[in-house]
Amino acid sequence: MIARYFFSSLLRDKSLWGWGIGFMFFWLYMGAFVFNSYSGTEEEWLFTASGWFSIIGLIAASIVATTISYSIYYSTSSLVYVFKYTNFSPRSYVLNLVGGSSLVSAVIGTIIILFTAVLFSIRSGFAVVPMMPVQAVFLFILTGIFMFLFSLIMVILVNNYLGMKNRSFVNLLPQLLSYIFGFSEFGTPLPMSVIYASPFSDIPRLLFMVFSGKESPQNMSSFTGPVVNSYILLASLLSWIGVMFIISMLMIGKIRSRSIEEGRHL
Amino acid sequence: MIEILDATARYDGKIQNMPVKNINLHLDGEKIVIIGPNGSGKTTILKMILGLAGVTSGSVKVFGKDVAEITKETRISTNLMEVYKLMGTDVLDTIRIYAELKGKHPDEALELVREFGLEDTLKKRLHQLSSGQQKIIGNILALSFSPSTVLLDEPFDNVDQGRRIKLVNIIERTDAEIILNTHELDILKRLKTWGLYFIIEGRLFGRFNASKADRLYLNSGEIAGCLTVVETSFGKYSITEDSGQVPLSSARDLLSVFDEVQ
Repeated sequence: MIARYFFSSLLRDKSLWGWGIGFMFFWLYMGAFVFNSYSGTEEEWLFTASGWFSIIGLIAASIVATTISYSIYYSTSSLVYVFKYTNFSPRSYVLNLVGGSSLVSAVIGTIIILFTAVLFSIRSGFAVVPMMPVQAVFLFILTGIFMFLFSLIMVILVNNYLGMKNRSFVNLLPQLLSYIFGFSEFGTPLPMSVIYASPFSDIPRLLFMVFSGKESPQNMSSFTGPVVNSYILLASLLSWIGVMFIISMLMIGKIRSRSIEEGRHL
Repeated sequence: MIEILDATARYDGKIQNMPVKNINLHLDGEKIVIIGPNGSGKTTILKMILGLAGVTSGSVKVFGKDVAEITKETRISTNLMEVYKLMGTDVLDTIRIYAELKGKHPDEALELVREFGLEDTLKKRLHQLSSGQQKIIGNILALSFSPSTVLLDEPFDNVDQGRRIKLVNIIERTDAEIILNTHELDILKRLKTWGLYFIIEGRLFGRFNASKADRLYLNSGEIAGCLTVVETSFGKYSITEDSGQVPLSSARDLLSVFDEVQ
């Protein structure tokens, strides 16, 4: 199983720990201790923690995606070689890396869950713990799979068709979309159709639901408006994963070798 | 078994490697060395065989199959490090991954790592190695796992003398057919039974016999009865046997011979 090597390689990536864990801890700390000056009820604190958890969880997953994107860019020649001159097939590659990404996301997700619970419990004086911790980890795994497939497709598009000058932008696309959708939840509420259709809305709202135990309202800043159906959100996310899985299977075998030096020069 | 027929290739991307032009090469169990200056297209020939460089005309076949169609052909290996950067793993895991993907055991490669005294590199990532260490690890990966065909690109670059001697011995006793690229002419003294080609500006000239390399001469202009005429952007030259202007064996690399002939 090649997945274990990918898993171990990602876990030893210092930037992933710095940005995906350290930086997220900083924001959770800010959320618990700096941006919240009020004393609320236990339920209000649970909702507040869930809100921060949902956004931070999405951004942490997108940082994993960016790390994976860079790793794929540096391996295009290797991929062409292993698909031709080893027993590794494009299908095995996608399946193994889906496995590796799932494990890494489960680890990072568990740490984010613990950070959120500890920081908000200390700040509030209540036991602010996730209502559905197992489902929360499972959701991180789904998020990790989505982010890996999204990154893979973006990398192949840039590498094969769009040109390497777009590389940095596309590498950061998962993070950009996460910031845009994540923080837009604090402003004007998105239309329900966008919330259901966009995986970058599905993920934080599902994370909110598993932490708080309640379905998220349309307006996340004031916790008002009609609630969003979590089953539809989950179905939407699974559909995205399914479609991207098929697309990535079709595209990965066509990946072209690009010089690593070329990427460095641009 | 490798068959390149009138193939022209250009390494894909904006930073172009020297394109190779109308290359013909047939390899069926032999060992050959291709000598050429840096940037002459040596690496591009290997990349063409590996499917890393686009073939714009002609054909490249490996074990009778067009390179574009090849999958799961485990008999070919190379020392080009860019094909061993699948997951950013350390040296030990890289060896394990490629052994697993080739369906072999990593022990042979790990034994070579010990033989070259590189045990301390096993826990380092490939980019943390010196260029000489990277080159040896690439050579080890190329020569392990019982390949039938080995493609070696400048295998002695940045390798210290002690390890270089060890490496030449290992390469010489390998059963596989080999294409070895180098810019060093003096290596021919150790590879006397090998076939010999020269590559200048993307054009391949040969085949000669490495055992006769010390009898080859380079001359300016086209000489009647020469072994081959080398056409370059800086003039026409002839390679002759037993007599001529400058003996190839007198130079360390090919470009210096051209300088002398001038």
